[in-house]
Amino acid sequence: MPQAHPDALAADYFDGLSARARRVSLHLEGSRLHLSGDGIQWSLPVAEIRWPERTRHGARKAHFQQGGSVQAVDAGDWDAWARRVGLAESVVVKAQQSWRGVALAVLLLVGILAAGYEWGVPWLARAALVAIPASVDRTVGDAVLRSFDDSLLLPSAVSPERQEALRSAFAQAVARTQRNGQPVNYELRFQNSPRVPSRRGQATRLGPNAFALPGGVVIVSDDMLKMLEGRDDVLIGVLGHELGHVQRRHGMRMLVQSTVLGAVAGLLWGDISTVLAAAPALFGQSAYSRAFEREADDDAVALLQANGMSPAVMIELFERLQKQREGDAADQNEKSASAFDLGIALASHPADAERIQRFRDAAAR
Amino acid sequence: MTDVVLPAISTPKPEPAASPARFQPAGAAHSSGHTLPITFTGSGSEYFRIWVVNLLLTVVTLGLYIPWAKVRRLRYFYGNTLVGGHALDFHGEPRRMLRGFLLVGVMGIFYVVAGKVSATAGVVALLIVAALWPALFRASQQFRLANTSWRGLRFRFVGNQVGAYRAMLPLFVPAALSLMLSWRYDERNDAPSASALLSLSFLVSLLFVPLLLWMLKKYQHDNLALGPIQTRFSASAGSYYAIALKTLGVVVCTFLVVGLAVAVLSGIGFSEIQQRNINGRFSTAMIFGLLTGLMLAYLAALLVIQPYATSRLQNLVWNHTTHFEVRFESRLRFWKLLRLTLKNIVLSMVTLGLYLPFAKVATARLRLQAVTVHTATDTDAWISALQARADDASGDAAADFFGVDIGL
Repeated sequence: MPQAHPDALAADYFDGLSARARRVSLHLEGSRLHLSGDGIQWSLPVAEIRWPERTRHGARKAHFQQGGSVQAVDAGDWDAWARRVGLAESVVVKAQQSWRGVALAVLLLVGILAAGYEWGVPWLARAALVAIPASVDRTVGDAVLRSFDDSLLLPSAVSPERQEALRSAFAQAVARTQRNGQPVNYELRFQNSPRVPSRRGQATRLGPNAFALPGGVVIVSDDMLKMLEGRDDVLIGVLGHELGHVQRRHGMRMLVQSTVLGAVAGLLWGDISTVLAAAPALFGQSAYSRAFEREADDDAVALLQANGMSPAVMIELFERLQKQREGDAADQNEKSASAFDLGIALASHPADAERIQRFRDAAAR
Repeated sequence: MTDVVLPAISTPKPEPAASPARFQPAGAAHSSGHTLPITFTGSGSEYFRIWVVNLLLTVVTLGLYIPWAKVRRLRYFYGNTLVGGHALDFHGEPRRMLRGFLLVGVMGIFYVVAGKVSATAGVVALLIVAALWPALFRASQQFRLANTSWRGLRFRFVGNQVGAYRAMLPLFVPAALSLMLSWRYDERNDAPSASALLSLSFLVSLLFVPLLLWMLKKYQHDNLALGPIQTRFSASAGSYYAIALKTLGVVVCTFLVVGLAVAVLSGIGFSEIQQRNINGRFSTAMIFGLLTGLMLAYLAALLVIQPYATSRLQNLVWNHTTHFEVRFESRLRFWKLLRLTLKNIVLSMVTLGLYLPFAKVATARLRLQAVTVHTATDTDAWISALQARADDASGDAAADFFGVDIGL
């Protein structure tokens, strides 16, 4: 009964109501698809058909909007027929089916990811922070502070007079850098830290340390003050560095950047393993962190110079830190303790040598 | 959460089979006239090409392309999954799925941001997500099955709303209890005992995990339907606990065996060093060797968990998903899956992830081809008698409207 059409294609028709397949012959006429065979004789507009995409493997099935579908008996024949009758193919399908298109896609992907990592994510974080009010920084910072509790921070053992003197010295130094007169919101806090067992009996949880939290709280450990005793100029530099973090909202930017990085790493590698996906994210995050540290070091340089001090005073900080570390190491009779230091790729700060050079260069300029 | 709750991409969809009385127990001989074999014809290199283009478009559109990418991927995997020679098919509309994707995405962002802003906001967000999650889970099951077809017939998910919430009770009850505990103790600020109690409640909630997985699977596999067929899930909660215990045993054994092997090998190494050197360097080498050994043992233990649990669970689940006309048989070998997993991980790492699509295809092939469908009567007769139910088209409109399709 079905007249042999020159451009006919054999296919199995399923009506969607029973699992039975009915062998039909398909042909296109104008904008309508005709089905005939096994008691079926009807046609429907091409626009109401969801066509399959060409793949090398797998079935070809076309779905009809009003229900029912046809499945190719032979995928190769189907593709040849589709080409003959002029069914359009999307750019995506063409790209997927050509190795040249795929190579281009790989190159573009790598390029976009690299550019996104280098410029896109930092830009995105800066743009996002414009929309995020400073009060959010404060909330986040407070939450971090609360999580520290007594296991990390104790009231300072430094006299209130000394604390006040440092605060006002730093405030004056900061005031000299402000050209546009916009005040910086920060809060300087001096804190002791619980002792941890050590043969010298001096070690504390925090050690000589200073850090800034989102929202402007800058915490300086008593050990840091002790280590920099007699060198308030170095301390001003250290505080200038931390103030840099506060002004540039590095904490919040890191939050945004690491979230984006984690999401992209999860998209790319999450299927292998979530643990493995964390590794590239961690590397990337450390690199961002080192970039922030360099920015903050530049701020320390600017602050020192605005106060007529040489950036080279910061070298003293690294020397004293180094001495302290060596002391600890000798103390524990473990010279090789540094063998377990994290590699630079994972370090949150640039190497000391690089940072010393940076301050030295700044002083020479 | 989605990982735990939802079936993996390669989980085969239920297939119907034919009719008389009861089935013989697994392993009994079947004539091929009563068997629908499952074959997977996908190719790694072809899926690689689809994957790369999908990924590029996803990145360029900042993720908005994800539903389109998903539909393309599902159509490829379904179109290459042949049950009795006929491929499965996926009918989801990307535009609809974008709605569901955005809904779930907004929820996710809201949840993450709330958690970072403050603890209270985090808890509130958690409560909201928890209240919505079972409904979303059900909608997702409905959507996925209603948009999956075989031989022109659509599958259905017939689980009701109450069932979805009940299935998640083993998650909610312990979580709610520990949340309440932590609040009470927060007020008293009784730090040490509070943290001890919290870790205890965490351990207790861990004990509920097999029960949770079982109840979720039961909810899913009691409610799979095609035409007049609706499957039953006959595995017991006890069998889930048995698998959990065995997995634990396998993990501990692996850790001990690998740890011991490394200890013996490095012991030989240490004595060499000791003979040649004086104590200073010795201690470093020892610490380093010890750490490496521990790390290796830990990694090995981590690596076996997934293939072991996956193979045992797949076999348990499908061998206990039945209907008097249809039965499944899954024989997924642990060793084969372990070998494949190791190969996939190593090659994916070496190629910085480019091997991933090949890995997915290989895993899908292994897992799918381990399954066969048995029909009680002759398959041909059974297929020609298989009819959609009159009400098939209704009921899933709501799920289809939102197009929620969580998970892979």
